[in-house]
Amino acid sequence: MGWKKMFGRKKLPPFPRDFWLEEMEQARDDAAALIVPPEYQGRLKYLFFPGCQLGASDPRYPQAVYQLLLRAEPATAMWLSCCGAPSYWVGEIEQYRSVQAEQHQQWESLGRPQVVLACMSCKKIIDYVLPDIQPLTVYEVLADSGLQLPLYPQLPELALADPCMSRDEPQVRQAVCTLLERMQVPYQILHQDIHTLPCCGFGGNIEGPNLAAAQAAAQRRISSEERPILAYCVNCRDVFAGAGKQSLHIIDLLTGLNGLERPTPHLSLRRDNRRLAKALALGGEKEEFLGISLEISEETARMMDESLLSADHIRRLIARAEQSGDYFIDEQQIHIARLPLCGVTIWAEYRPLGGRQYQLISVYFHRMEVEKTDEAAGK
Amino acid sequence: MDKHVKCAKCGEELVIKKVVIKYFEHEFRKDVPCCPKCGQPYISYEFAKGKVREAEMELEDK
Repeated sequence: MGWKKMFGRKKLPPFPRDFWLEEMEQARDDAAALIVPPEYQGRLKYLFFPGCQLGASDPRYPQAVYQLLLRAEPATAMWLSCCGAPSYWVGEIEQYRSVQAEQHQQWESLGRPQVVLACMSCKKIIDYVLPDIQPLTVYEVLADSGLQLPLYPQLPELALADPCMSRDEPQVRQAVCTLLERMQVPYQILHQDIHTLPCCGFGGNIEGPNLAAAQAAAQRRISSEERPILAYCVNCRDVFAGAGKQSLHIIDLLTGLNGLERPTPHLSLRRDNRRLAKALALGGEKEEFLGISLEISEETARMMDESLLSADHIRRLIARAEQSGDYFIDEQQIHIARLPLCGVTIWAEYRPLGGRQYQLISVYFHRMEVEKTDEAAGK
Repeated sequence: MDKHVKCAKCGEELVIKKVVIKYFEHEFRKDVPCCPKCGQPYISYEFAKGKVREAEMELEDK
C-alpha cells in the first residue's frame, strides 16, 4: 500500500493513523467487558456486541440496548470490545486478522451463540472475515421480537439516513423500518438506492489525515435536507450532529435516552465514555486512567478533537511529568510539560488542583523533534 | 519569551540556547529557551503553532 511505504520512509507523520489504533486497543483493553448471566452460562442464545463506538458516543447506549435484548431473550450476554475495523482501515492486516481470530475464539468458547451487532461496520468486517458467525443486527432481533415499544406519532418527519455499510443489506433497513412503523415514527428514507448509499465521512477514519474531506462528505449527505436526521449507525449520528444537524439514533427512540439536540461527543473524551459504559454495564464505578482526574473545558476539548488528542494522552503526560519532576512552571504556578508520542511531541499546560486532580489549560503539539545540545545542557 | 517560565526540576530561569531540530531527514539548529542547567528545551504554544508549524508544512510539501 502506498501510504505504508510513505510512513515507512518517514515521508508522512504517523500520528493521525496511530490515534485510531489506540482507540481500538483501548476498546479491547481497559474498556472491554464480558457480561454473561450466570444462569445461562454455556447455553447462551445471543451475544450482543455493541462495537467500540456505541458506548464511546453515549456511555448509556450499550447497557440500555442490552436491557432491551434481555427483555426479548434472557439468555443474552454482552461483550464490550472492538471488531478490529480501525486496523483494517489503516491497512494493518496482520493486527486485524489477530483481532478477528481472538473474536472467533471467544465466540467458540461461549458456545457459538447468535452474535447480535449494533454497528454495520462490525457486520461488514465479520461477514467478510468470519463468515461462519453469520451475525444479525439488534434491529433485526428487536423487529422480530414482540417487545412493546414506545410510540412517537407526535415527532416531526425524520429523514432516515442508512449508513454506507448498509449497502446491499436491505434486510437491515427493512428491520429498522419495521421498528419505526411499530413506534409510529413519521419518516422518509433519505437515499433510496440501497446499492449506492453514500458515506457520512466517518468511514476509513479519514478525519485524522483530512478533516476537510470528512466534513465535506457530511455536508454533501445532509446539506440539502431540512428534516432532522434519523440514523442507525452511531458514527453517522455523531457526524451529522457535529455538522449542526438535529440528529437521533434509533436507539434514542427505542430507549428514550436522548432527544434531537444531543451534540456530538468529543473525540478526545471517547475513551472516558467507554470506561463509563463498562462501569454502567458492570454496575461499578468508572476508573480514571492512571488514577488522574482531569477538568477539561469545552474549548480545550474541541482543540484536542481537532488535533486528535485524547484525554488519556494528557493523563500519560501529567503522570510522567509529575513523577519525574520534569516540567516547566510559570508565574501563575501552571505546569507545562511534554510527552513524545508516535513521532510527535505533545505539550500541555495544566494546573494542579490537589491530589490526582488537574485542570487542563491548553494543549498543543509539534512534529519536529527538538533535541537539547551539549551547549544547551551547559556542558 | 512571552512567559516567565522556570525549569521545575532545577529551579532555573530559562535562557536562549541553540537546539537541534529534526524533521524526517532534515536537521537544523535554532535558538530556543532552555534550562541553563539540564538543557531541557521549552517550546511555547505560540512558537509551536507559528514558526514550527510553518516549517513542518514547508518540509511536508517537499
